Amino acid sequence: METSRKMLRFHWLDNFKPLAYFWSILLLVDIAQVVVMRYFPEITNSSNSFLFSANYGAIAIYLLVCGILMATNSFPLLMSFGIPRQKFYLNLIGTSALLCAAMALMQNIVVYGGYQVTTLLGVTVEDSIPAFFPLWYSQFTFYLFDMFLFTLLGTVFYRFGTLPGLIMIAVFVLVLNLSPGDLDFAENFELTAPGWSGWTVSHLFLGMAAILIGIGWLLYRRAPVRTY
Amino acid sequence: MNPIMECRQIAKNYGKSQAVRNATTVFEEGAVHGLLGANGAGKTTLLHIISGLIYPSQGQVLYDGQPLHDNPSVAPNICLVKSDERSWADYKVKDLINYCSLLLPAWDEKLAAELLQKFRLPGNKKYKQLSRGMQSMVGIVKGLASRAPLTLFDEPTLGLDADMRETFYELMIADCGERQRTMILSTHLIDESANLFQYITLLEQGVVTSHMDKDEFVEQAHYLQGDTSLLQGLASDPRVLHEESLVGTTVLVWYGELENRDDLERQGIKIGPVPLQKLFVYLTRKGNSNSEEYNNGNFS
Repeated sequence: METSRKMLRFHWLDNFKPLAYFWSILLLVDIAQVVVMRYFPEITNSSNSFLFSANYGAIAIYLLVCGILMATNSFPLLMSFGIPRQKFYLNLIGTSALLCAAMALMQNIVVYGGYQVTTLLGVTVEDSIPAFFPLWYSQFTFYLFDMFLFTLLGTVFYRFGTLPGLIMIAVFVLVLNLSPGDLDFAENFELTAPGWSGWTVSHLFLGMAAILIGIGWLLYRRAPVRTY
Repeated sequence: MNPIMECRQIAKNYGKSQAVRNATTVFEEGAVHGLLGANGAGKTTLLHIISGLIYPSQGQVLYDGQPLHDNPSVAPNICLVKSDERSWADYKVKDLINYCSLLLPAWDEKLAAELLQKFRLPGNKKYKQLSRGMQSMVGIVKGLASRAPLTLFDEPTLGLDADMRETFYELMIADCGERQRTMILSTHLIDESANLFQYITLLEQGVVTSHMDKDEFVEQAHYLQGDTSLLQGLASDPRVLHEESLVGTTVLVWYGELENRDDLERQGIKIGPVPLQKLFVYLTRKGNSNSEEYNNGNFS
């Protein structure tokens, strides 16, 4: 327990600055968006029907980078401080879940806060926003899936080298091309979140994240730390 | 002395090549061990195995009687200082020291601060921006201030000047004396670190060829210097590691028991000790020539 607490603190120290920079930039962009919508409505994208929709994609990309870094950087770093693999991996699951939950929560706060502000300013982007929990849950489960998918990719690169990693990227691209519909985060989160299909998809993401966690452990259990 | 660590027939394969072969040895508690071997002998691989960073392809490593790998209770007792910590590259020295303080269970904050000051390490510089010697110093701070019962140093003095190397040796001796820590040191600077070692483990092409008390190890080797006609008969003995002749005088390096010491001295042959570094060189060369003979099919 003591080691887990310390590792959590390590992740906090390690991630605080990048997280602070990320959200500062995102909030600045969001504020600029509101200002533009209020004072220069002619230059805004009229087809965009969701508030701060770009944030969803940005968060997903931030988390996938975090996933890759956890596998390729945090693993050898924590091993160099004598952390056992089992504790590292359990902590990786906990930290990732916390980070995804916090990111989804933060985006919820931004969307809800932004909705209030834009309504006050008389700018209407969307008539209503989904309920707080379904919106949070649909994001959380997707982010978790996204982060573990790329943690797995990072692990394959770290453990097996460049070629297997590239093959895995090719598989990702293939699956993405074969999957129906496009990847519009805002649409997926906000339109489907409250409905039955939204819950089903979210549970599916959670299940797939659990499978990825299992596969990840099989790869980490005896993973060597690179000696070169 | 009780063994703190035991390696039982461990091997490590990388594809078709074998970095460590059937290594069986023990490391006694509360002593400084010298892990010696030529480049590519398998020292770093062995250190990585006994620190738990990599798994052996075969065999078992025991720490204090318990299996080392897959055992979370053992890992905090071992601290490995690598010669090159790639994962530290993008971190500032002060961040690394913070992480050490957070994650190493027996971390000595006061000693770390003293060492940072002694080595004049710039806290705000990234590890990758430091000179080779300064990177070694950060590793030394980690190793010494970790107060880990078993500390492994892989080439800890790379790039250090003579003064700093001496400082490291002094600190190491003082710490081992006060706290009964066990340290395993892999180094190529054998002469200057010879006085530190209580035990020597010799690795040759992945095989542990000797593990013994350093004094006992050195006492087994002798220079025999005398008239070539007198020493000619001994030159073909398998215990002769090296032979040099110059205008009627021959020098042999003998490794093993010298049964007829008194006779030889009576005949005027001078018998002297062989420094550890020289002994290491002769043993390595002998090992190489034996393996060449083995590879050429001349080994009997």
